[in-house]
Amino acid sequence: MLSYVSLTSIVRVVFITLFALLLNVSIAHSEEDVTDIAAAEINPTYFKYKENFSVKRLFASRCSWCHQGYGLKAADGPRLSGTDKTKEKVIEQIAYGKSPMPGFRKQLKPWQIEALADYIKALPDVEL
Amino acid sequence: MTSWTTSAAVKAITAVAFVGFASQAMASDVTWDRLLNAQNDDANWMMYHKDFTGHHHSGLKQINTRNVKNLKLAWQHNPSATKRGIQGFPLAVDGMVYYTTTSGTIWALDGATGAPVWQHAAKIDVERAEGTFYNPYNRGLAIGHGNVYMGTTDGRLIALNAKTGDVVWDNEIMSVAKGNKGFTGAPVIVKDMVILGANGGELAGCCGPIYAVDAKSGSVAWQFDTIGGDQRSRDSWGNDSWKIGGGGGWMTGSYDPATNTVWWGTANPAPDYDYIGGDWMNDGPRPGTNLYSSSVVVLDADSGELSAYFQEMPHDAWDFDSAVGEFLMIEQDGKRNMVHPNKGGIIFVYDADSVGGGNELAVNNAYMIGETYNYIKGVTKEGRLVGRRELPEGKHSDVCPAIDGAISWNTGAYNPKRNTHFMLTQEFCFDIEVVNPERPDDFSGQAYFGASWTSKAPKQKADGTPVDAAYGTLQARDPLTGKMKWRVEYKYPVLASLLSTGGDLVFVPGADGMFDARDAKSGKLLWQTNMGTGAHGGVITYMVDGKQYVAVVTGWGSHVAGNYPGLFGAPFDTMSTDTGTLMVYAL
Repeated sequence: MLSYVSLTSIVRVVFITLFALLLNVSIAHSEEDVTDIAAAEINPTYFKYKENFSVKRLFASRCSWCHQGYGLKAADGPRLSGTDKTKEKVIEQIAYGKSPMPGFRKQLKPWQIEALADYIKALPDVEL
Repeated sequence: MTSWTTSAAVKAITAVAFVGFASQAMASDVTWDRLLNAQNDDANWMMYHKDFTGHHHSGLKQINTRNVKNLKLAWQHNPSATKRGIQGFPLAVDGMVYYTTTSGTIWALDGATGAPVWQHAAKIDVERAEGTFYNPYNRGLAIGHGNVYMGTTDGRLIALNAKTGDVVWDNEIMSVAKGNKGFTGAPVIVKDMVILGANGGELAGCCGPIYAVDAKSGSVAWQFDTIGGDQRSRDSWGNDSWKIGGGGGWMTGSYDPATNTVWWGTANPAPDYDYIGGDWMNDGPRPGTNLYSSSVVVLDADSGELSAYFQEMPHDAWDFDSAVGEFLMIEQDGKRNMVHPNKGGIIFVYDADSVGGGNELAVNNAYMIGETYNYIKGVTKEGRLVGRRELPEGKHSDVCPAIDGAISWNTGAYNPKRNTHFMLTQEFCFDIEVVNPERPDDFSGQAYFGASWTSKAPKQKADGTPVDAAYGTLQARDPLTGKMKWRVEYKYPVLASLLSTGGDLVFVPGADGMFDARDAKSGKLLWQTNMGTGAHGGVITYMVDGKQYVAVVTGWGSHVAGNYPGLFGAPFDTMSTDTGTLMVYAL
């Protein structure tokens, strides 16, 4: 039978171990690319349109000229992460542009525009 | 000093009509003979590159090293239509100054006072124009045969009466059927034709045409497709990828009267970047060398047929295209050389007489002027890249230079008396993740990239010297050998063009708005003034009634300029991107 002290020690060890594990997970999480996390959240929604759809691949193909770092860094175009626009406003701007930003309604399908808007809204408010 | 605001300008168009009339009375027509001999006419600046030597040098020396300290603002013009700054090149002819601002607006002013004579704002198909990233750029105009000519972002070429601004003709030159979009570069007149090239290197279209348009009627005389135009080109694009291969010729080239040839630099292939890496001859989105992208093409001026070419970036994997419009004709020791800078920071020296038959140009020399590059290890004297750094799918750190290149689209200048070529470099890099992009529909004209990136400071020069910040250089070299004569470092890379004068000066419009005049012999700073905002357009000099003027456009905002807030912070993080002014200085 374990003494009270031993039991307390075990609880303490378990607690510290759990804390350390959580801390590690947290650190690992913080080192993960936030654009990958946002994309992983969004991509499955659109698999019904395209198998293995990758919103980052779409973003790189169409948006990277002006929006650097998958949207995390301002350049010729503004930083997109942390936008205060609603999803509907983001969709509208991608579709119709806002000079000098081109409109993409004739280049992208409606679901692709929505996927980009979902991705932009899923980005945390961080800057490269 | 006279300052003209936009509203004042509009009112003045009618109110000072007599000024226009007086100028009209003075102006004589710009004939082909005048253009052909423009290097002997230093009072005027009649084409983008001043004359067909491409030197951007005027023999005017009223303003010189001894008195430049007394240079001051003579007048300025504050136009409307300046989104993303003014990027055009003013022209000065017989007492008048003409220049363009964004969205296809032309201004004609009295060259001595700045008084407006006429203005024309093209009615742009906004939806088409704004379908590209190059909107609403306009980089200048051509003058001749009684007209002023301007290309537009929606694919038109417009001829206006040079004296009145009345429309002579306004024709759609470029169809969107193959995914082409429009024009941003200045046209150049060759004989009775107006030559201009398409933008669109990053668009999934074809075929990046260069046009010759009849100056009188506005009809297309010939068309050269920079990609897919001949079998050799098509064979160099696997899987018919030329149909979405981009290309184009978006800056202003030149003309060599001795061989009756048009020299033009071409744009990059699409998609930008190639996930396949080193096996690009056999696999990937555009297998092969991708002729004639990122090349110099030499065209018969009368027929548009390919006379010669040289691909400066075979299978361009970095967007270091050849669209820089600067072609310097330099004759030495009985040899005629054509000097051409490439965006990758390389100067190519071509044998100007190695044309004819559609063969590869002979290269007399090639050398690097970029300092922090690592996309290649170097270039041979024959112009061949050495030690390519391919960028296969995945992440790559510290790739130098960034997509913006070591040399941007504006021009350097050449002082023939000193045999000195003044050139600028921009030294910054990026981290990049290359992806396999989805192939767009053929001829769709869609944006077509294969990467996402983040610009950053370089860590070292190519020779290993440590670097801790992005920077720029102004270099003075022998253009044929590449031997450095002097070098000045700029904290902020200069993006504007340079001007060389007979007064032994080189003028440098700075990114931070500081306008410098330097001693051509030493690089010593002799004069400086603050123009109030950054510059990334043209600079010229001209003379009216015996007085020399220096005219420069200001205004900030472009793809390259967009990197500056992140690289440098102030003053670029608060610099306006919707203003611009024509500043004119005199003693």
